[in-house]
Amino acid sequence: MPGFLEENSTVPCKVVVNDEEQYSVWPVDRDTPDGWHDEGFTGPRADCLAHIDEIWTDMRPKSLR
Amino acid sequence: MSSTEHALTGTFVFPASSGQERLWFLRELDASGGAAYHLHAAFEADGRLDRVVLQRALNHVVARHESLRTRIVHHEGRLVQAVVPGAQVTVSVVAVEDRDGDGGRAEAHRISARESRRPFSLEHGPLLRMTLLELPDGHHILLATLHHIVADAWSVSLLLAELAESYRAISAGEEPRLPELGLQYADFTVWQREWEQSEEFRGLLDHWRERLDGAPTLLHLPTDHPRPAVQTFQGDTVRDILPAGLSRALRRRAQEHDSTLFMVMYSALQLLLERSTGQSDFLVGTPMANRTRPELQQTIGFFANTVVLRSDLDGDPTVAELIARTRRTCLDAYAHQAVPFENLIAELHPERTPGHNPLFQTLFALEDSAYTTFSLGGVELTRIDGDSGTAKFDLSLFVVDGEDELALRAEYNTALFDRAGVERLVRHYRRALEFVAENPDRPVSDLSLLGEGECGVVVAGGRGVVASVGGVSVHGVFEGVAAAWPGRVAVRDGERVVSYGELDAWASGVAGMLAARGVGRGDVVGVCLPRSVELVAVLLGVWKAGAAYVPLDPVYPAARTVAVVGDAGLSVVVSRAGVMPAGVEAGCPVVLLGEVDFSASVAAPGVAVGRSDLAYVLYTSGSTGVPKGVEIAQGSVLNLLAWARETFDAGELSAVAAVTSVCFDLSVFELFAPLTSGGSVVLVGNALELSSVSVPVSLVNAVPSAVAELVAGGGFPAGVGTVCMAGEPFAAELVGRLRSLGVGRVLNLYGPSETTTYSTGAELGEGTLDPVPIGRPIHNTHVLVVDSAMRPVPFGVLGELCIGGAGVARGYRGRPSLTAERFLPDPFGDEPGARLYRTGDLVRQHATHLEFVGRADHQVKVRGFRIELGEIETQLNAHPAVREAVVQVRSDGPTGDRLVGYAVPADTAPTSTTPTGTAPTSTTPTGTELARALREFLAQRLPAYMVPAGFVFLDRLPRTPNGKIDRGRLPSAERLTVVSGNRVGPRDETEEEVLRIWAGLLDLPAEQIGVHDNFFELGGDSLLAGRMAHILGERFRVRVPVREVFTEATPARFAALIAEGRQKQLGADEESRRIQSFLDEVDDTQLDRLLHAYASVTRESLDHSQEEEK
Repeated sequence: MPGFLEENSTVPCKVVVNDEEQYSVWPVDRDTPDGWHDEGFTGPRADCLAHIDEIWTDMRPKSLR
Repeated sequence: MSSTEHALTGTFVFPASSGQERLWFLRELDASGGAAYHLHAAFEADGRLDRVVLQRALNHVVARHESLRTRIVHHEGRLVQAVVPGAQVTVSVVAVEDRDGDGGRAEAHRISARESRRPFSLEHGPLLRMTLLELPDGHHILLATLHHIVADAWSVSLLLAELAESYRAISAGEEPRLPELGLQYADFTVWQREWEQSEEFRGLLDHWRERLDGAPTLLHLPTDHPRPAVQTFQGDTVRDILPAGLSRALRRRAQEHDSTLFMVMYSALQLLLERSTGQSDFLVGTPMANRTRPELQQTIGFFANTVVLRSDLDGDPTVAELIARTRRTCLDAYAHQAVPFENLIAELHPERTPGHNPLFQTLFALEDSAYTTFSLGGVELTRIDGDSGTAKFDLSLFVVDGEDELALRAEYNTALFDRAGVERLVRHYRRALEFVAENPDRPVSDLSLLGEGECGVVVAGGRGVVASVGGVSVHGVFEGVAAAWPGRVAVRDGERVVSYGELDAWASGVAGMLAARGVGRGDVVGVCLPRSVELVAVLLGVWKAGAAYVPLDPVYPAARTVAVVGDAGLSVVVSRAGVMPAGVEAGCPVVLLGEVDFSASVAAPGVAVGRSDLAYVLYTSGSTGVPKGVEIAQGSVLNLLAWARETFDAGELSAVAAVTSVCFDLSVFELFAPLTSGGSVVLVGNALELSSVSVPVSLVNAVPSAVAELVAGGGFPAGVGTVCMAGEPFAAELVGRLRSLGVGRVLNLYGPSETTTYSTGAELGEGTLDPVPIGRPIHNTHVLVVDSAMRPVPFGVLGELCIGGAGVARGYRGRPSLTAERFLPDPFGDEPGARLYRTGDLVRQHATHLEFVGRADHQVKVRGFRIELGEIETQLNAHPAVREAVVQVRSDGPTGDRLVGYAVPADTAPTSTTPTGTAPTSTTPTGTELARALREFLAQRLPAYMVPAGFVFLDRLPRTPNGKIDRGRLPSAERLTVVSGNRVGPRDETEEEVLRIWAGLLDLPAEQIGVHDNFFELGGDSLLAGRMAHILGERFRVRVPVREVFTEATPARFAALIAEGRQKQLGADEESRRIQSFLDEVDDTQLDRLLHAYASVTRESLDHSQEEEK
């Protein structure tokens, strides 16, 4: 299994989001860090990122919107 | 006949083996006498030994084995073994004094250690020493020391066994019963030398060459000290004993996988080395007895060989799979072990340097614990010798296979490692062993070298101090300063001096003007202006209007600026007639200063912004071919500036040279650190123009290559107290040179744009590390060095640097997925929901500092400019004449780093299989034309610093077995096709000389350069330009201003400048000619008198003319 940080679009990831509604990815089998929540989408990194492109339409932190 | 050869009378002469040749060489190499290749053992007897019997027993053994009677000498230009028929070895006897009140034990150990290191004379022999130490209580200690050139570990066992049998037999009045010797070592060498010529041997060599093809021959262990230029052999040893349970589990793992304990232990070692070095392909040596033939098993001699094992960790195997692969690797090596290591080196000719062992620098071996005891007559002897104090390799790891528990012995080179560093390695090896023992079915990537406790230490070590930062916005802090000291100088721009009050009013005017055009909080404003005080006022004005600025460089290609304007979604672009790139106005409203009427009477809008509002969006090279905008919030800039005011005092910030384009984030520090502290900004065109700056400068902030160039050219301004360098690694030497120029403080600052200019910093004192470290995190910042699974790595281990804290950018403008990919959840953040930026920079974290190592990807730095090679490649591949292209930074040439494009032209036959497939095709006129076309094409799309200096055209690009482009195998750029227009040759001597100087600087044949060719298009850069101006000045005794190089950099123009300069000097020359003709007519005495009389005058005029030079 390639490492999470390796240049490999197939790494299994989950989409995570924080309270400012900033999105990111995290290894699917690792605990989600404090202050982040699983958004619900999991899959290869490329798919997770494509999903983020779709849902993260306003990139301003939530507190500024 | 030489004396050596004379001494061969009565000896039998045989060729030396290739192994003996290597040991002879190593003996020559080691200034300390070669003790690393001594075999030494000390045994304490539990009773008294009979000296006479011992001597007779030794005589018996020495008589049997030629190698114990062998000397190594040169004969007829070759190294030979000279076997002396009747030679004997005398047992020395030493009475040990009790100096320490311990019955002489400590003294005996000292004697033993001395004896183990006492050099042998290979030429005179004997190469075996035996010493009997007599302790005051009557006990004996027996020392045996051999040179490796005549023996190996197996031989030592044979020697002791034969000594024991001989002693027993002689004591009993019997004939020793020893096995018949099949062959002597010399017989073996003669045979081996012949065999080396055989087909069979050739086949073995071919096998090894295939196995080791392309393997890196240097393993970068996490050393504590840089590698000395010449290898030393002083060493020390760290020992560890594995718990019985772990030892049992490892043996069980071996059984279950049908392999040996060695294979299991070596599997774990591969994991340790991979994690500790970041290399997955590496070589490790392991000794082989090499006595597979029965007739060699009883003979003393240097039979042992070292074989090389290549790691095999591709594709994250499970532990079981790794063991299976290791088993195959080992069995294969065992089957081919007969090829002497020296022949392998001769065949592979890896890089040979006196700095490290060839091919491998880490040795791994399983030792059995035999000969820890043996008996002579009825006396039991127990081995007592300590560590040798030597190290043959960087690191030798021995697993001692005892009865029950396994023990580890790590022998390390003390020039490279501290004890603590090796203890850490051994501790991590234990974790790897535990992982291998317990988890046969887990992928090896699951192994983490760090235990929880150590992880906490590493994470805590990456934290900067926590500090409170005041202010809400940068311009707010500036306004406070301006209100307090309205009369202070804010900016010096050449002759123009602007006070805080004036600058604040000017900025407010800009803000009012922007507000009138609808600009407000949350908007983004483009600023496309030359470097001037006006630019500073506009940046502040944009902030006052509640917006963020996007710097646009007027000299960049219009196409790129238009693309950035579109990407950023600008509300308005502020520019000036004459510098506005064409096409911008089509995508965005434009305000041209000078045409728009605004004045300080326009009220500032008084927009309230918060720390989370954006301060600027800075576009940086993007790997996909499009630049990306990094969004930085006001709070992040405030944090940087608060750090700056904390780190530098008011004096240091009193006159800060601003040399960096506002398109780079160094400018944020240069402009706003002084402007938020009451200091002043001294605007300078670029770093090289510092040499002609006319006002005092307190602090210089620049890329190290520019600083080095200034220092080398003698143009570093006097009186600068503090120098901050950033953007690229540099050598410690530069620190010393700056200090000798009176610079009190030198800092190395590090940080990507994504974490707001500077994230770490190091104060560089005398004796700083080399290359210089990037220091520790600044306040409210923390760093995390992680492996590819994003787990923290131990101190000293290479990993990717991630940065968290107050400087982390909001993200990449309009790029959700790119932002999500690079800005990750911070598992160790101070606040829940915090993010980390992964830099792509490879570093090592040490207890006190971070060491910058390089890049994990294809982002490069050339002269401090951050460049994504992918961006250039994308553009290059878009040219219709290019089928495929990559771009590399090459440092082969004398001009330092430069960008080189490697392109397969579209008209190349697609399936070229010629053996010279990757060789550069000849530089045909077509190649030159294509190179010119490509440069022109790129120059329209990329900033000048991103356009390759030249191109190498290939039939195809080299590829790895799995089809990826193998950048490591791209040919060197020696046969670079550079671009030259329709060449006009030199028309006079001056032009010819300028061409010659250019050719030297650019590493090009002078015939390729025309007088109308542009310096930069030929691969020159600003630093080379500075050097050129310097050389031209020296050569023609005319001052050539550096800035002229930037306006029209052609040989024709320079020749004209030189002529102009000479014209100016003509008047002065006329005067000196007159004086010369006068001097020709005076005699020596008169001349002496004149010289004395005019000395002071001459000195004065000299000083005056130097003044003018400046």
